Parts: sequence; C-alpha cells; structure tokens
Amino acid sequence: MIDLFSTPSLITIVLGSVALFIPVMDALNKEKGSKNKVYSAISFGALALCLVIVISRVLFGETIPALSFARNGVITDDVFGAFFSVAFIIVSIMVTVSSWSYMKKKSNHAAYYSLILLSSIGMILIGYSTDFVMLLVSWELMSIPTYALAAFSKRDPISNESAIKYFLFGALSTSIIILAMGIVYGLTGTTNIYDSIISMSNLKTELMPFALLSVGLFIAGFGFKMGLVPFHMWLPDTYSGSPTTVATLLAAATKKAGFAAAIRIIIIGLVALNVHWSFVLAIIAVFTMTAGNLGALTQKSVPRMLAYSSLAQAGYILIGLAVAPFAAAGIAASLFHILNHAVMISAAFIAAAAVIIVITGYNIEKFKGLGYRMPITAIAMTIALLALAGIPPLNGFWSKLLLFGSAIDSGHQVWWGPYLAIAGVLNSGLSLGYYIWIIRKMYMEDGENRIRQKEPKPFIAVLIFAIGFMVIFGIWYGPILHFATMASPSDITQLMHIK
Amino acid sequence: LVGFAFEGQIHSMFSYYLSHYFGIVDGKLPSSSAVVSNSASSFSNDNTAANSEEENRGFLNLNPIAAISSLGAFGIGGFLGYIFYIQRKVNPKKINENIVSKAIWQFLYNRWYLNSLLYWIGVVIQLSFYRKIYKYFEGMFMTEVNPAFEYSMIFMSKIAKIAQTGNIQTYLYVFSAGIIVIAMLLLI
Repeated sequence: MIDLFSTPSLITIVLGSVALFIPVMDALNKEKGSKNKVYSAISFGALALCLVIVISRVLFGETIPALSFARNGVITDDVFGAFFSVAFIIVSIMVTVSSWSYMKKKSNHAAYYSLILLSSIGMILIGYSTDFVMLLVSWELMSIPTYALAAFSKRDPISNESAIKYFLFGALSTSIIILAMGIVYGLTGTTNIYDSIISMSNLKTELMPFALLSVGLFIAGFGFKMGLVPFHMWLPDTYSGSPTTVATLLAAATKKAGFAAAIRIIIIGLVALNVHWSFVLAIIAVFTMTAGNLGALTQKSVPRMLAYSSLAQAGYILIGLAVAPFAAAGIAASLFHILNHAVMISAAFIAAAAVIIVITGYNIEKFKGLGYRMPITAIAMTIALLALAGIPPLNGFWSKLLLFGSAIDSGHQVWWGPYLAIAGVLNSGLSLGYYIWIIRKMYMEDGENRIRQKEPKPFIAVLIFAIGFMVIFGIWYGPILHFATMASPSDITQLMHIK
Repeated sequence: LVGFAFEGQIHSMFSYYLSHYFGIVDGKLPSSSAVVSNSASSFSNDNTAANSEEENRGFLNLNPIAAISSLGAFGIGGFLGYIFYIQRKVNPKKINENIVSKAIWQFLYNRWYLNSLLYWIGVVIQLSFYRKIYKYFEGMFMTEVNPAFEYSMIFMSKIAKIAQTGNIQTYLYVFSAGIIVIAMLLLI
C-alpha cells in the first residue's frame, strides 16, 4: 500500500493535478490570446511547492537516510530519491521560467507545460522506485512526454528528425530494459529490486550467464539515456535539433534520471553478483568523456557543442560509479557532480537559448561581442562554462576534485584507478579548448555592432539564480556535499557480504 | 685587517656578554639548574674559556698574522704614496710603461676583478644557459611539438564528427555492437 503522504506521492499528486489541470483550463478558456505566462506561472508554483516539500522533509528528518529499498512497496521515501528530486525540480523550474520568453511566439503552450510536468513526475519517481515495474512505468512517464517535446517545433524539419531519432532509440532502449527485467524476473521470481538482488547473489552457477546478460542489457538500456559510449549516437542530433529549453530538460534532467536508475539497479546488482564490472565501467567512462570532448572541439553550433559537452560530463560522473566498490566517496562524488552539472548545463543551454531568441542564431560566430550586446547572458555563459571545466572557485571544481580524488584513492585496490583520474584530468584540460573558445568569442572579438540588446527578464532571472548557485556553492560547497553523502549508500562493499 | 688584528679583544667582549647575560659558555646553552647571576664571581668563571684563548694570543691580544698583514699593507701603501705624491721622486705614469707594474696596478684598480668574476658567473653564464633553453625548448618544443598536439586533437575531433553520420541505421549498428561488446566484457 502506497503512503499518500510520502514525498513521492505528494509530488505526484501536486504535479499531476497541475499537469492535468492546465490542458483542461486551456480547453475551457474561450478567450483568444496567449496564456503562456499564466501556464508558466502555474507550473512554476507547483514545482516550487514540490521543492519546498522535498527539502523540508529532508531537513526535518522525515525521509529514510541514505539509499533504501522497500520490501513491501514499489516506492520508498529516502534521501537518495530526495536528492534526485531536488535536481530534477530545480532544472524543471529553470526550464519553465525561461520558457516564459522562449515560448512567447509559439503555440500549444498548455501542452508544453503539461508535458514538462508529466516528465518531471516520471523522473522523480525513478529516483524513488524500488520495484522494476514501477521503474519501467516511471521511465516511460519520463520519456514519452520528452519525445513530444523534442518535436515541439513541428514546422522545423531538424526538430522533427531529432525527435524521430530520439523516439526510435528510446523505444529500443525501453524494449532492452524490459527484456532485462524479464530475465531478472525469470531468474528471481520477483520484481522487487532488493529481493531480486538477494536472489541473484545466491544464484546457481549455471544461471550466472543469464544474470550477467541481464546486467549488460540494463547497462545498454540505461546507458542510452545517460549518453554512454557507444549508446550515445542519438544525443548530439537530438539535443541540437530540439527547442533549446527542451534540450536543457533532456541534458540536465533526463540524463540524471538514467543515473538514478543505474545506481539503484546496475551498481547494487553487480555488487551482489560479484562481477568484475568496475573495469568495464571505467573503460566506458574513458571512451565517453574522450568522445564527448573530441566531438565538441571543432563544433560551430553552440547547442551541439554543449550536447557533446554533456556527453563528456556523463563520463566524469561514471568515474565515481566505476570506483564505487574501492573508494568510500565514489557514489557521493558522482551524486555531487550530478547536482552541480544539472545547474551548470542548464545555465549554459538557457544562455544559448537567450542568444538564439535575441540574436536569432546558434552559430558560434553569433556569440562574437556578446559581452557588450548581452552582458548578463555572457557572464552567465562564462561562469557556466568555467564551472563545467572545473575551474575554482566554482562548484564544478569541487565535484570534479572529489571524483578524481576517489579514483586516485581506489588506486591501492585496483591498478587502473589513478589512470582513470589522469584520463579525467586530461579530458578536463581538453574541454577548456572549446569552453575558452566561446568565452574568447564573447569578450575578445567584436560582433556586428556594440548595441546593447534587451535581454528577456525571465532569462535574466534564471541566469542570475544559476550564477548565484554556481558561485555560492563553489565557495560554500559543504551543504551539497553533505546532501550527496547522505544520499549515497553508507558502504557499498557491505553488499558484497549479502551472500 | 685592522678588525682581524683585534679579533681577540672582540671575541672576549662578546664571550663576556653572552655568558654574563645569557649564560652561554663555549656556544652551549645553560642547563636548567644554572643560574645566571650578575656577580663578579660568575664573570670570572664564565670567562675561563675566553681566558684560555687569550693566553694563546700575543702582545695586547693581537693576532700576529693579522697584525703583520695589516701593518704591512699600511706600510706599503704609505711608502708608495710618500714617494709618488709627497717627495715626487717617481712619476706615477711610469707604472704604465712596465708591463708587470701595469698589470698589478690594473688588478688593484679593478678591485681584483671580483666584480667581473661575479658578473661572469652570475649573469653571463646563466644568460647563455637560459638562452639555450629558450632556443631548444621554447623554440623547438613549444613551437613544433605543441602544434603537433593541437593538429592531432583537431584531426581526432574531425574523425569523431565524421562518425556522427546522421544516418539512423549507423546509429543502430553502433548501438547493437555496443550491447554485444558489453555482454562479452561481462561474460569473459
């Protein structure tokens, strides 16, 4: 029986009600004219209320500490789910507020905001799921609205193409996940994640290949959403073809939902199976970050460059998961970087969206002289890019430090730990090649003119919030690190003793 | 040289000062039980080390070698000055006519070439070393190896761009190959 007053239930009720209310309100509205501001405000209010609910529950200790599994339910109210909920809600708020300007001249506002809220519900429930079926339903609830959102510019052929690619690969990955869940159910006889992990840890030897196959399929299925090499090919096309605010949601939120599911299932499950999976994840991490940085290096389109950048950042996050059994702070470091990256990449994409709206162009040449023409956007873009590169004293520096430090710490148990850290550091240096390129264009090259452009106020509000987040939590990183540490399993190696 | 001549006197002065006010005798710090007192008896006791050194000194506690060197230099300089500039028996310009005297004069005039020696050791040799480093490191390595690194990164980036064909069949092929590779890595 689901507790209706648990955090995930309350969030589902609030966001679900608003998501269903907005289209009904739009249908019943007989007045002509755009209600974009009204729907944006209602969505913002609902998301802000949910954020208050989640944070207050954590602060008042009404959530289960660390990562937990519900034996008799499909969701659990733990800090792990709360952590991801905070990340998803912050990103959704940033997208919703910036859409106030972005969607001004577009149609179907009610559907747009409703789809964002529905996708947010799905993402949040993924973080709280402790049952395979619940996870699958949440996964689909997250994905299907985003397929429609990716194609929202329906008269733009590039948007349609990106949405088709996203939908096809999404459907393929979902089918792979279902196949993996079916194999696990066949082996264990249960859809509860915890019970299935216990069963798999006591599996007969002749059934082990099936268990490993299921894990491999889970990696493929969730790896699609996380953007891991070699399941990443759809990502640059979709992120660059979609409306930029939708790309923000995809890069900052849905990608993190993939990590939420991966941590609950793959990492914990692989520990129970006692498989040497860490090296596989480490190889994938190195390929992912390298492919992302190399792909971004010579891009001329800024949204596409940021898409490749988010690919590389997924590689950095995977470092923490790869060294999780050998370093105490592995998962905490990944969670730390997940929240930081959500805000950083959102700021970068939203700044790019502001440029697209005002200057109508997404080529890097359009960013010339942006420091004069759109100073607040330029500052926000600069801070976001430097934070993504891991420059102190911004928030990205601390999470990357913890990630690479965990990799080095694991060196006393696995030989490849320090090399993984070296790869991460070299890739961070390589990423500066294109981050600094954009900053140089904005401040050191002259554009068409030096006329100050009017920056839309919703964008300014979101970007100022993002700047404050990146700078303040760059200097005072303690609260987020503490939150990430609370959300991570206390000792993943204890699961090795399940047998 | 004058200072060296009176080294013994200066030594005893400081020995008395250290022993009387800090209790330091022969460079050793006092023990916890030692009490430094401002009495004549402690003065005479603390000065035993200094007194033994003074016994080895000559007249007026002068260092004989230092005293002879100092007085000798004084005497030579005074004698030459008297001859050249007071009695005017010898023309100073004649120093330049003799190679040996000219060399001695130049050696003394250039302060034993100490400045030149320091300049050569501290400036000229080091500058030439740094210029070589600049030429072979900055000029060769940074100018030639750095662009090689840059062009190789750009080349690999272009390969990554080419791999992104935009063709969905290619993407599906890579996806499927990835699943097989992951499964093989886990099963092997």
